Amino acid sequence: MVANDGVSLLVVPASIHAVVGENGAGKSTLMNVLYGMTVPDEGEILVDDEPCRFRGPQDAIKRRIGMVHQDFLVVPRFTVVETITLGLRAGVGTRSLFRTDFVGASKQIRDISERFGLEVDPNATVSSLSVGEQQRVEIVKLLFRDADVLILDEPTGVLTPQEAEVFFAVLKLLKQGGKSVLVITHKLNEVLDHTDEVTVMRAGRDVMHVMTAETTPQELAQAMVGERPFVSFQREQSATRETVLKVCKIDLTDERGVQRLRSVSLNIGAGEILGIAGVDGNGQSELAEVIAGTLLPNSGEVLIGNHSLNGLSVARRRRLGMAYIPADRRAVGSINELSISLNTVLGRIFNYVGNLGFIRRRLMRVHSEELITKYEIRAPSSEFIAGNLSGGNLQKLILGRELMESPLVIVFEQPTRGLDIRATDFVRQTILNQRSRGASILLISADLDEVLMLSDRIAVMFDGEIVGEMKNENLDTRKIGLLMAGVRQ
Amino acid sequence: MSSKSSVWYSLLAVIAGLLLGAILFIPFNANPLESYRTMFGAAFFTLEGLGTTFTRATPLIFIGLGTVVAWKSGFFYLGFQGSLYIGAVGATLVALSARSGHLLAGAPAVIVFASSLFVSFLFGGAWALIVAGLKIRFGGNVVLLSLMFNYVAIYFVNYLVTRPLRAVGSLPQTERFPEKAILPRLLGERNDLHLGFIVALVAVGAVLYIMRFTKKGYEFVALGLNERASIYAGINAGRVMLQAAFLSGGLGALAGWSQVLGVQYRLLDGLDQVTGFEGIVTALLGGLNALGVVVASILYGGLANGAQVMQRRTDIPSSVALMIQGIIVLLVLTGPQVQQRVAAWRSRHIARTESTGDIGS
Amino acid sequence: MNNVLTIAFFETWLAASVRLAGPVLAVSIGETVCQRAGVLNIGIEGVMLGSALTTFAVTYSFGSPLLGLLAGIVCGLVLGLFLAAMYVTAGLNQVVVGVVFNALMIATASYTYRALYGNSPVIQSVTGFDQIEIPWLTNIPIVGPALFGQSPLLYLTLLFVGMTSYLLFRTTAGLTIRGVGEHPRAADSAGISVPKVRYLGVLTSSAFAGFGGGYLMLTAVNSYRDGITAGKGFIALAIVIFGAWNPYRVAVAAMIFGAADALQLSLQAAGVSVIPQFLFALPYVLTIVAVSGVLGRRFQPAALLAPYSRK
Repeated sequence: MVANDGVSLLVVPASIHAVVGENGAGKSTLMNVLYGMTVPDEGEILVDDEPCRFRGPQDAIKRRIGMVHQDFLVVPRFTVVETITLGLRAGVGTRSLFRTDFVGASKQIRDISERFGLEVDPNATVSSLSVGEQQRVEIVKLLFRDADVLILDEPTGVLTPQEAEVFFAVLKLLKQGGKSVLVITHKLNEVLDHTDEVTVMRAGRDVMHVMTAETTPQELAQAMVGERPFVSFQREQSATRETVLKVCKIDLTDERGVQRLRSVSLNIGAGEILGIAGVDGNGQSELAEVIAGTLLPNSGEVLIGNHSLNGLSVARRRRLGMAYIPADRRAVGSINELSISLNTVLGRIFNYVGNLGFIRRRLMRVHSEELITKYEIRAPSSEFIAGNLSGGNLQKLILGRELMESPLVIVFEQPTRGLDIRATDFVRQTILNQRSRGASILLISADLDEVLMLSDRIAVMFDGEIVGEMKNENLDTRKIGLLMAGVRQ
Repeated sequence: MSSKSSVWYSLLAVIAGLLLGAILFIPFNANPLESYRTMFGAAFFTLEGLGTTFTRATPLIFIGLGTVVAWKSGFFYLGFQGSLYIGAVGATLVALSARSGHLLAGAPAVIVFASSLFVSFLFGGAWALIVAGLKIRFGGNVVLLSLMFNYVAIYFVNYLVTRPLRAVGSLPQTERFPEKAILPRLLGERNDLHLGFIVALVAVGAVLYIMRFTKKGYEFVALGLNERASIYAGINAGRVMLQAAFLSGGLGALAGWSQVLGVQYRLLDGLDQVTGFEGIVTALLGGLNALGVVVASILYGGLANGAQVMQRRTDIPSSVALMIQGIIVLLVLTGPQVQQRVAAWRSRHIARTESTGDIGS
Repeated sequence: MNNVLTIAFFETWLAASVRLAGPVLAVSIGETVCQRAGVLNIGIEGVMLGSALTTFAVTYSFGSPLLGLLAGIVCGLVLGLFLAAMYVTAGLNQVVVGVVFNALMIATASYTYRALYGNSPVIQSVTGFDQIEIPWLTNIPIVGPALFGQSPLLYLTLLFVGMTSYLLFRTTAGLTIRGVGEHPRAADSAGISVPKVRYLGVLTSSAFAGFGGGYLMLTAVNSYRDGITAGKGFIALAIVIFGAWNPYRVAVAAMIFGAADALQLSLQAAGVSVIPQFLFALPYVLTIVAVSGVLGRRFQPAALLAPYSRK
């Protein structure tokens, strides 16, 4: 699969350049190449008209290109000055092999802070800083190494609105200082308000490059999302349905104190598919986990029928008819080291317990063999180790297992990610079959096509909120694209 | 690494270990072949020797089983030395209460036997639960905690045998236990083999059954292999770990039970010979499964026994037994690494030959 | 009870505490550095034992305690190389390797002693380092003998305490080490070779364990016997934790353990019968509290025990 196909990017000094696109558009790959993590197959990187080869992030930083990731690489227990100077050898301030000149470094940090509006106290302990402050430390870290090009990956994802304001002020100062900032984002409002130029990526290509002042949100969203033929599987219209899954005002804050879900509410009826459209990382996986029971919300309630799931363990929820197909099929959805047969009972072993707590292995084997046949899993026997199954076959195993007892509520998270065409079709057809059976289905997918293809209704998530909900008929996909990018109507 | 090739590899490791061990005999001017013959002969080919071998293996089996249950569940318990001591305390209390004038004075031997088993197991299980509880509730480090608790147990026993439970006299030990508390010998007075060995075999069966055939065993293994997937599947990680801890601690305790009731007949300061770490190493040698533990324990018990006999007859120190076992285990541990390197070398070799044969494609 | 509350008692007790704490402290210093790099080297017990034997053998053969001590350190480095290869290069489980290694060393040491000196019951003895007696200062009441009448190795060890603290907290090298132990990914992306730092950490702890083993050999006992280390390596582990991975606090912790150790001797000598086991167990109980997480895991290097690979 081509992650980046002939992508060209021109970065000029003293500019703020946004790179936008959906999931899988190729933004991360491009950035990985730029800051030295990945070696490109073709093409070259020119810095000041000189071609460069980066064998690692160290090479890139020597050429003054640095990146701030979404998960910061700061050391919580260190002070700011310590985490910034970690790994630096001679040549910065007055350094010898032995003593670190913290005083000199602190002064330099303060200078940088003043110049670019990045208020950081060199002697503060990193763990005592807010997320926004830690991000500033990361930026100072790059500037300390004389970076001229700073790549920022979804920088406002973890910031409060106030912190975001401070952040944008910093961007301005960086630009004034002659630095180039590359911002990866999917938030079009921010792009329009704070950047100079925009490059849109889609399906591994750079499809558009324009000066921010000369474009509109609609134009950008259209480029992001593209022309989408309205394809959908055959679906019978369902009659009015009773609500089976009800999610009420869920709030969730993560360990870093960042709010991941804001008062999320939704309803799904029997025989209905609600698709969640949205760029990865806007709360979708948290929503799935709250329903599954592996994450506890700060407030709010989830109900199946009349039963509130509050306080119920994962096992209880499954017994109440919940099924969950997680995004990570190898690390979370199955246990690699066990056989197909033993994976079949993962989560429902209580059905196979006979007298004296005896596992009824024969029954297990029979069921898993049935599953193999029914779902056309390519494996020599039910004793085959699950970790050796291909992605498609593994997904079928997980589907078969989760759907074995005709659950009431099914949460599908990225069900066709990484699968080939045949497996993908199979999975999608399975989802529709479950719908016909009358299950309430929550479909979370970063693949907008898939969401459009399968859903009865669509909800768009952005920044932990449901920003739009609509029936899936005669949809204007550009509207969805705008909502996904955070542009309110 | 597939289980079939790992069995082969273990076999290879044993042979390699024995070969390397042969080198150890040289500084003592001993013929390796002769020495091995003496060792194995004494350990396995006389009735008396076999009895001692099995007796030596008994606590190792218990601790090995405990290690299997704990480590397979992801509970990295190293506190078997402590379990052993605490189990010994439990057995001692029951045994001492069978003296005339005490609680179980009138009880039949069977009752004493059952109570000693029960109390011992309970003590050991509770002991391990403390560590597990600290981990689950507060996030404590199981490895370090269990090591520390070992010392507490040792000093506790030391205290008991120098004070409350001390027998008359100056030695740090309790009274000799009454006859009905003592585990009967199976093959006559001259043979060391006692009932504890049978109990150990029963325990092997029980652990085998639990791990392979019960829901709880499934949960143990699943939790140890992939905690996240297990939680998502609805397994209650905390509860399952507590159960694994209790079971493994109880098993380790029975090692102490078998030592005091089957070999020493009293509680001593510094329980003879056996260390928890030997049991852990044995479990590793057995590939962390119940059957392997038995084989490895008997093998090691034989080695240790034979080496002791050999030391009496020649100059060769008995420590060769543990050395050989240690070498074997190290070989077994590095097995997967070696396999990986061999596989990598192979694939490179194949790629090279393939590419040279393919011109212009 | 009268015997106890005398100044003489405290004097001897304090002096004995410091004396007994020395070797273990030496081992703890090295292990502190190692754990700060994120590696839990349980094998220091085995290294200590092996080095004690090596020191004994060399001192006995050449009559020079200095040579013996150096040999002990070299032994520590060699064993450390092996351990580091297991932990870092092979990426094996640190706990498992440590346990197996210790068991193997116990047997190997016992075997080697017999191979060298036979089974004779006569305990060979060896000249160790003489204690230093600074004439005037040792007359200071209570603390005199404790502070100023100790083996030169103790003063060397205390020097190491200071040096290690300086290294860890005031040098670039120390920052690098700590960075690897706290956040290996951040260190890696900053250009630090995580495996190299971890190797150095393991080698450091093993070298110090070698030094500690030799130290033990040459001062406390002056002759070798099986199990001479008696778990002191594990106690060093406890001391590192109890001292919150900070060299000065580790030194204090070592003193506390040493005091408990010495208390038994001193009380016996004074003819007092107190329940000593509670005192012996106390340092371990305190360590349990420190490590259980009840106090929060504030001090533990964040990446301790976690193997690192660039995935």
